[in-house]
Amino acid sequence: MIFSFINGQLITYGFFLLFAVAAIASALLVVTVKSVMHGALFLAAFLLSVAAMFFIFDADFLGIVQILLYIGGVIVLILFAVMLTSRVSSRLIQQTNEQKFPALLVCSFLFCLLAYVLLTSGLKGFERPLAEGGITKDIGRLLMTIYVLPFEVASLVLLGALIGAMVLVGKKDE
Amino acid sequence: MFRTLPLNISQGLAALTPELLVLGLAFLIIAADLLMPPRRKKRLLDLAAFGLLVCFIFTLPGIFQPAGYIFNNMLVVDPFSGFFKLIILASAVFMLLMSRDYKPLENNKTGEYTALVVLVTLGMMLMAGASDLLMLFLSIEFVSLIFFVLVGFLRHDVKSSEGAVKYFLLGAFSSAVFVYGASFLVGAAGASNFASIQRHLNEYGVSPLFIVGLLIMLVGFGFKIALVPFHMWAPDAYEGAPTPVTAFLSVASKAAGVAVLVRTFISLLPENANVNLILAILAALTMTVGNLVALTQNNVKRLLAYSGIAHVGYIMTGFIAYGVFGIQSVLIYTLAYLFTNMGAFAFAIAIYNKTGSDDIRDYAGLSLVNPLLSFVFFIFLISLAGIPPTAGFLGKLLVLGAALDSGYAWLAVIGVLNSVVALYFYARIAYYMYFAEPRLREELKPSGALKLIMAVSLFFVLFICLFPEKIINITGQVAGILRAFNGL
Repeated sequence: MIFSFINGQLITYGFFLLFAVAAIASALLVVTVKSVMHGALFLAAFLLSVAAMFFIFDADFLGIVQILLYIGGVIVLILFAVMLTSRVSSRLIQQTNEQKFPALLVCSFLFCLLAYVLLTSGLKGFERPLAEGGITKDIGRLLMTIYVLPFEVASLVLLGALIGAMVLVGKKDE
Repeated sequence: MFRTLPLNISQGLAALTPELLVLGLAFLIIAADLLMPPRRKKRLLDLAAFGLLVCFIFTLPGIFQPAGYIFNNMLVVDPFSGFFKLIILASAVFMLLMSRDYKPLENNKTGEYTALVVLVTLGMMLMAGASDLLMLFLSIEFVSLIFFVLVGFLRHDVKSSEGAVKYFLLGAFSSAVFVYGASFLVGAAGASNFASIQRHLNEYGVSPLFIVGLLIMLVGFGFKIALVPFHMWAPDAYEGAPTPVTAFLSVASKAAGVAVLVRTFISLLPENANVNLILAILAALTMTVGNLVALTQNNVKRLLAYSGIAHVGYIMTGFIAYGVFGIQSVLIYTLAYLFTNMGAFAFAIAIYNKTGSDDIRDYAGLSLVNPLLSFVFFIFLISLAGIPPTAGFLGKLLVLGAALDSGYAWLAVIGVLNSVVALYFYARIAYYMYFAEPRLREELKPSGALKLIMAVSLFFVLFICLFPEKIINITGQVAGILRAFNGL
């Protein structure tokens, strides 16, 4: 092979950098563009880049969930809402206000602080050989053993959300 | 003394009896809602109140049990969680009784309302026992999600919707911040449950990443319990929500938030980490801002919201002491706050039902038409202000004592100065009741349920201060076990 001098890890790293830059750029655009519609589309691009990063790091289940739920569900919902409210979709909105410089100052401080603690903490990550069947099988097993209680509580959260949604849109009692 | 238990599921479920009972009650309410004729839906509130009272009795042994983890360290059952579960259940019972007689809630989706209240009670009980970052996040979300709906329950009231939207936006944002901080902890310690994190800390000590993660989580907690400067949502949400929900939000949700805050910091933060100064500054800010802004409020719900913010500042003051005495003072303060606030809100509902207004200037002349009721309210007010012989006094005394004890004399001084400020706006309500030009002409006739709440609250407000030995003993034990179980 001609490309044998490129090892697999380097390619992974390159792809990661590519999607990381894409994610940060589209996230910045979400909060700076003036059209709500464009903002929603950039949000979709951001979520896709994050999904791609999940795939790169072998978290294929998370990647699929990310695409299904966020892009398939949330973004479509946002687009519907934007399109149905014509007053919003046709107008350009200033996303910043007069507080933007103090906010920038605070954010840069936070950025420096977080960068410092992350770089000095010596995070190693958790190297673990993938089990047979990949991460999906692992997640399935964990949900039924160690994380069985949060799994069940999550269903109660959904029940609460269901009743809540009914309250907010339903008719009044007769 | 401690069960260290890789318990099997049936033992875990047995330890969760109170939660399972509440869950069963929620399903019962949902089913009964379908079967009941619309005119008799009010019975659902009574059923739920009675059911939660039964759960309360089943939870009582919980404050004497030994500490132990269940469900693979997801939850902890200990006297501390038992204590807060009792506070949450008691305020839920009070809240359901208040809802019976609050006019805007009449014939307004009673079934759904009751089911949501019972579910949110369950969520807060899980919060009080959560000992895993995942479980903690899930239960906090559970509670927040339902409270968003409850705050906006009066859909045709603009203020209710406004409060709900503000609460929702800031709540969602704070959840994101909370998860962000939690992810740092998981990254630094390599585990999400408190037991494993403690083991990691004992072995390797704390890293800056860990401390920063914990402080970011503190921002998330701060939103939930309305610490200054994360309190912006509270006044609008409190004003817009139906008054029983306001009472519930201000007592139970705050108690659950305090419980997770105390547990997280006690079990994950070694004492040598030196973040106490940050907590002390937040406490001082919270007390001062809450009290100063409350000075100018005329709406009783807004006033109680700001005074509630100030009370959280006092609770934090006690917590900074960090030792057994500090935790004990937090427990007693929360207990005192439960009865005092519930009593005051029951009174506010009685007035609202008569006048349709929450303005304290409309309280003028109350002492002429209802002398006894006015006096009872006066006692709740002096308990809020922290004057003897009321529970609020004992709470404040212990909290400030704990601060002095741990060398935060300046914080105790700020606490005392704030009490003086607070006295002014509580006394202002009393002034309108007793001395202002009368506006109320007719006698208030609070319903039986409201009278019951006021009587029970009044009893405990006086009892806690006059016979404190028993309560001090019990809370001392509760705090001692929490401290020993999480010794870092």
